[in-house]
Amino acid sequence: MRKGAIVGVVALALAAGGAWAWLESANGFSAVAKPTWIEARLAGLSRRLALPSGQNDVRNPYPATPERMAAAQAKYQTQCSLCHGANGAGDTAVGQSLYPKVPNLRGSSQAKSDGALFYSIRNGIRMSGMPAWRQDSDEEIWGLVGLIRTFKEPASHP
Amino acid sequence: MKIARMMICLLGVALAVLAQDQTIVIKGQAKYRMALPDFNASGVDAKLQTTFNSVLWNDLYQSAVVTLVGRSLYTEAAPSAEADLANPSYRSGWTADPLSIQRLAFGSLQQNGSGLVVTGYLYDVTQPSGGRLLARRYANPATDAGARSIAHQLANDIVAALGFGPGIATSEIAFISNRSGSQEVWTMDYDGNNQQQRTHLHSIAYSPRISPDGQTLAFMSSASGHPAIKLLSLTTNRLLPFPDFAGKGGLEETPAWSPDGKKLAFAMKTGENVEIYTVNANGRGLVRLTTSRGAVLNVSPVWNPKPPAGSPGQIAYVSNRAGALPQLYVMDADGRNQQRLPLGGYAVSPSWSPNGLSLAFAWVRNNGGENSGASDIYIWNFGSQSYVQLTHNAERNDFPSWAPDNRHLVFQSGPPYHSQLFSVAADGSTPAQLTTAGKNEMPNWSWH
Repeated sequence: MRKGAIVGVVALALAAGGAWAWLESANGFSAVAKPTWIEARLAGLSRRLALPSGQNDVRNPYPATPERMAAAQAKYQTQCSLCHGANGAGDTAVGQSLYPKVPNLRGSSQAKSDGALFYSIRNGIRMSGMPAWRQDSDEEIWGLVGLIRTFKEPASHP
Repeated sequence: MKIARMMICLLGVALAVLAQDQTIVIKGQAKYRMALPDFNASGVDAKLQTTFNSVLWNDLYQSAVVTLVGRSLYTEAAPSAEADLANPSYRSGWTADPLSIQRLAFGSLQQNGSGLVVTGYLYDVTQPSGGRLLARRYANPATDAGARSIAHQLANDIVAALGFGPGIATSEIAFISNRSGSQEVWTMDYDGNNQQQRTHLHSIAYSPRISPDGQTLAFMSSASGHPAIKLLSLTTNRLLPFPDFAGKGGLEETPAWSPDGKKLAFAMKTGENVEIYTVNANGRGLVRLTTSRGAVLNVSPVWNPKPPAGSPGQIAYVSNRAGALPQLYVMDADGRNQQRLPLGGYAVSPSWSPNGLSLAFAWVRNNGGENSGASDIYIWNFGSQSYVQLTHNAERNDFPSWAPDNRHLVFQSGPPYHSQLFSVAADGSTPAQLTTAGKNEMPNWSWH
């Protein structure tokens, strides 16, 4: 009886693994390909798990001052705009060739908390093109978080 | 209301205590001892009486040019008419010790249907007879706003009749608040009343600047997806056409009106630097005033409202060209005669006084940078080439803005996500908290 159950579990696992391998190999491993839904789910889950608990509640301790906004803009254009685009839309040749593609900082990223944006810039994002900006000071990274907030898509209103 | 007033008083006392080792004094005459009995008002709506009397008292208290003697000390009833002051024993009832009144303001309210009429007088009671300094009649709708407006006008007339004009009782303050969920431009009366949301752009706004004629407001907004200068009509609350010089991915910020209202100075990113530009208010005639090398930031320009005769105008601004930390500079409005003020530390947010004599600014005096110590409000005096400290507390005090009377400042104080606005006389007296809801910052006092 127990033997039968073990065989069943192993068979199921093999079937699931085989199905995934087939899905993946069918698309090849090109960075240009659109990810399968399993991959997208797993990537989303791993990003959520990567964020330490409490990080979403961390508030930007540095106020947006004219000096900080100007400094962040200068840093963004040198370090970030190659992939994320001058205005954060991510519609650059480099940004669109990465796997996964860079997010639209003007759209989906605006729903993320200040703490989550800070964490992504400071620590990078695994299995993506986003590097960890370890050499920048906390103040510089919080300045970038403040600047990214100004990228928000214009609201449609009169 | 009582509780709110008490809290404001307590906050005022706290600020005054924190500011106790003030080193600056208003130059000029000593403050007059003034009595202000409640205005006579028979048959007038009780609420209107209370509004009028409390607004007038607060305006004269906030003016910081008189010492209002408390009503509990008054031994005489308010004059029912000017004729009462012809009686020597009545007059000496005000001038005798311990009241020692020098100026007496009084008057009456009358309500005729939907109209409110106020008659106000100011007397120099140190004269044995006569001594009338002001007699004026005011009329407005019998509403809270009508009563408030008359009290403000009368307060300004009293301040002017005392020789301290122009008053600030009818002035306004523009500021940024997040209380509606996004950072929008708001305006309020100088005393914190009548707070109104002016923009609904659902994005980030900062650095509001009211034009000299009070009709237009320049500010930075990210409503088009990057920080850019916008103009708002204060009469229609609609955006006015203004070019986007920086374009997609660019940065424009910190606008400032020239004293004649015909030009704007602002900061804009050019290559790797942020430079100061001027442009006509109609968006034409863009001129670059600073040229820096090597990732330098020049921001927060402010014009001298009273430049020296023959000068093309003067602009003070913030630059980090001398090192990592921002410093204050002054230049001519054509970019010549660049001079750095000898300060050190982290010096930002200049505001030029209407008389042109001094610059208020925020300063972290330690050389360790912005978070290395308290940020306090200081005043640089161009005549003596020296500074005095206005605030002394552990909070982050920033963005001072001078009032049109050269005697008051408004500034922001508190932690980054819960800062509030305070006004204070430049001698440290009459501090008042003006906002409580949400985060409020970057105040700008109107020119009149």
